[in-house]
Amino acid sequence: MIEKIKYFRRNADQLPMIFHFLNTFITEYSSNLKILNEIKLSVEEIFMNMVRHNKTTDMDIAVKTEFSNNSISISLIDYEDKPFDILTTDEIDFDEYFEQKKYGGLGIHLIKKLMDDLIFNHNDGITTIKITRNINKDV
Amino acid sequence: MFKIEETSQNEIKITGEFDASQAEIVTDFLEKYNVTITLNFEELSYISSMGLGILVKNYHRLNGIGHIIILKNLNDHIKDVFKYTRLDQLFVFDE
Repeated sequence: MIEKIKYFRRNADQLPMIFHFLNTFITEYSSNLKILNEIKLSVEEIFMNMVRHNKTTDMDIAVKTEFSNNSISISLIDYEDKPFDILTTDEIDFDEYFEQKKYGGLGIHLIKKLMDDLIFNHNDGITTIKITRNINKDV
Repeated sequence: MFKIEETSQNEIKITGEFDASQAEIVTDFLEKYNVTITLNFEELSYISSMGLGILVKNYHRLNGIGHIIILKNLNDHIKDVFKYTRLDQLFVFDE
């Protein structure tokens, strides 16, 4: 397994640096832009959720990249006492969503659609959310 | 480099990567329009869920006053994102 880790401040202005880190790692294994963008979308959603909803710390958020068995995995690691388990979110009822003119909350639905695996773990005040995408699918 | 500009009357071209760090720029830009607009995604490589949210919010705002948003030149990634969120049923596409 090959892995790299980097730390980012808790701010949306870090997204270009996170994307650069992801681009550099992912393009070593896949030149498929669709896969790259799907992973970027999922990482952005998780990162921004951590920035917006966890106000209990100013510590950096870690982004860890891994490659094994034809799959790219990205873990986002944050310190928080009261974690938000994104796996517990309800499925979106799109008829109701459009009828009520909602316009947010699509990110977690998209992660579940685009990634092959999504794992949430919280232990000793540390939350880890790990996404995995097989690079041989949809190529 | 991210860019949003009006390239012809009521046609807006968005270039680069539309992520959460561009949310305020796009929101401020689109809020000026109270007519049917066309968004040209020819050089838009990436859109995040926050970007989608801004488009949907503007769709409802314009729809409420009798106008629409037309989208054109979507890449495969952006087409998939619209399909998985069923937003392909909401917007008009100029294919």
